[in-house]
Amino acid sequence: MKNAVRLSFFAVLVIAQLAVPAWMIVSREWTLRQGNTFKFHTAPVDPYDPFRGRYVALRLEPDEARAPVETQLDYNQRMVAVLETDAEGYAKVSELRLEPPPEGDFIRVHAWPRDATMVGIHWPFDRYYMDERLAPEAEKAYRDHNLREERNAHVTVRVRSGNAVLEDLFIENVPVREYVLREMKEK
Amino acid sequence: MNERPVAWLYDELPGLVSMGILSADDADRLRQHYGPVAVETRRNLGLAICAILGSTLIGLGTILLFAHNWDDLSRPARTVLSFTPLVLGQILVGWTLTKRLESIPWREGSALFLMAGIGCAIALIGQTYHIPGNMGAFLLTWMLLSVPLVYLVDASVPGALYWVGLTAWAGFVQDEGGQAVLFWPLAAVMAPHLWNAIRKDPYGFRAVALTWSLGLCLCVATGITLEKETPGLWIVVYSGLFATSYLLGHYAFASAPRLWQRPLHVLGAAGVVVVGLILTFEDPWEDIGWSHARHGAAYHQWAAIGDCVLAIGLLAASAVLLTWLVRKKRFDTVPFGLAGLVSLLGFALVAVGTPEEVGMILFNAYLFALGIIVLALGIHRGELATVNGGLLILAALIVTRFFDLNLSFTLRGIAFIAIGAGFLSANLLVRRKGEIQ
Repeated sequence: MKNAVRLSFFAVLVIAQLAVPAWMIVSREWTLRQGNTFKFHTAPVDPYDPFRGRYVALRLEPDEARAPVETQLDYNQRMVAVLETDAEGYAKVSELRLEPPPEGDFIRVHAWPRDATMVGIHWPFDRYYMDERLAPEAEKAYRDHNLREERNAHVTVRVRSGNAVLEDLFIENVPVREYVLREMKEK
Repeated sequence: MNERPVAWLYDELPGLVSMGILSADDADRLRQHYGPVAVETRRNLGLAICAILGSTLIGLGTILLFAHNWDDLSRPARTVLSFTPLVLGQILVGWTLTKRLESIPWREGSALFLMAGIGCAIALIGQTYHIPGNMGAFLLTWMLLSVPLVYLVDASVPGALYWVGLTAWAGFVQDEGGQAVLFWPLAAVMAPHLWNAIRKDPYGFRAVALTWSLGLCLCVATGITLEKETPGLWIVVYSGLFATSYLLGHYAFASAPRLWQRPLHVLGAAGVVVVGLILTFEDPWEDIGWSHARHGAAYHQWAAIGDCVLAIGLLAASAVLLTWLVRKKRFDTVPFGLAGLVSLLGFALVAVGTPEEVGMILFNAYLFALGIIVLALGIHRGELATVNGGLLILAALIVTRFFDLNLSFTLRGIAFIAIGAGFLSANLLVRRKGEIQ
């Protein structure tokens, strides 16, 4: 291969290598700035990712919804969860469907049939990355808090045109980072 | 052109000129005729290994630093940070392409650093925006953005890592309920690079390292990508894979000077023995065949066709290679080369309803015959390593049967002593034969 041709191909590769992470950033920034906010109940635990570090794993609620009528679902079926807000201000699924609704906020999810009437939902956010020192403390703080009082942890999610980006994790309505630092100081 | 003999000739030329066997003009004419060679010298190889190790350590260190998650930093600061190793790697590769294209250490080192930079960028963005787990998508994006470097920079270590990354991706995809049949065309993307390396110098470090990487990845990925809709089909697939690997090693790389330079041969032989030993137990033969086919939402019917294609393809390849080698009077390759066809016989018999013990007995007989033939071949040729290989197969077979069968301690003791005596006397026999010769 001639070097000029090699360099031209390399230039194309450089653009592709920059474009993929750039697009990952732009699409999420757009959703964070323009999307509507929904609150989800959650339960945090603390695992580890070899590449991306320590995070708080999230189990979001609701984790199931009523199955759509007369639809045969596969395992890990791609679906659309149409969102509404309940009386307490938390997100709830008003409808699960195969295609996006003409209007209203929705999130693309994976689902699987649980029984004849209910479908399990896998939300596209299952982790909140934190400083490696703070993540285990966050889990511990949540667990301690859970023993003392009624559970109160939630995440805020921004939703726009089916794209969803996790914004923040709250314990007792305080952002998790502030909460953990406060708890650590009190000790 | 195989460049290794040409490199050897170039090393010899100064001596031949100084001894008056060739004139300086003759030596120059030979150099002009054969042109430049790029075979690794010991020094070059050392430098390349240092560059590869250095880039790997720096790349891994950067990933770990980012994994700390500096959540004091703002999102824009993290964005800049995520692009830094990527852009640095691109500058290094660009510089190598323009200034140091002939240098193997620079090519391998810079491409490897850029590969790590791509991983860092995607990982840090994932961390900043709390992108869900999906390790499969992360690895696939990383590998696809890295693989063109193999061809642009002519770097083989990123290529070897590409296969490792693809294998890991296949594992995550199958684990998450998907199907990783795409592994095969994606892995084939690297085939021209491997072919080129083999064509240049089949026993050089580059070709051998790539073949080891591919061989080891295939050992794992084949099992991962199987849909397993038909229970027991893995028996045919794995036996066919290892038999094909062994025969291909003999077909294409028969004159490799050292054992580490024969990856296909070594992996094939070891694979046949390991799979054979597993198949001497009864469990793998239970409930196999089409009448026990699995159904349900977790199984993809279309992917099950891929399993059949793989089984048929590997068996056909091993049969063709075996026929070719037998025609060339390479009868010594038959015992290992038959593994695929023996497994097909066992699978077919049990699948049509013959008792499960038949498959088990078949493989006990096959491994026993294999051990005896390898042992006899070793004694006949006076090759100590082959003799010990044959004895090892027999010993492994007998030891596994002891865990399986309810034999008395006395009988086990006698058998162990017999195996030990067999090892010693066979070695003694071969040594004496060697001394006489």
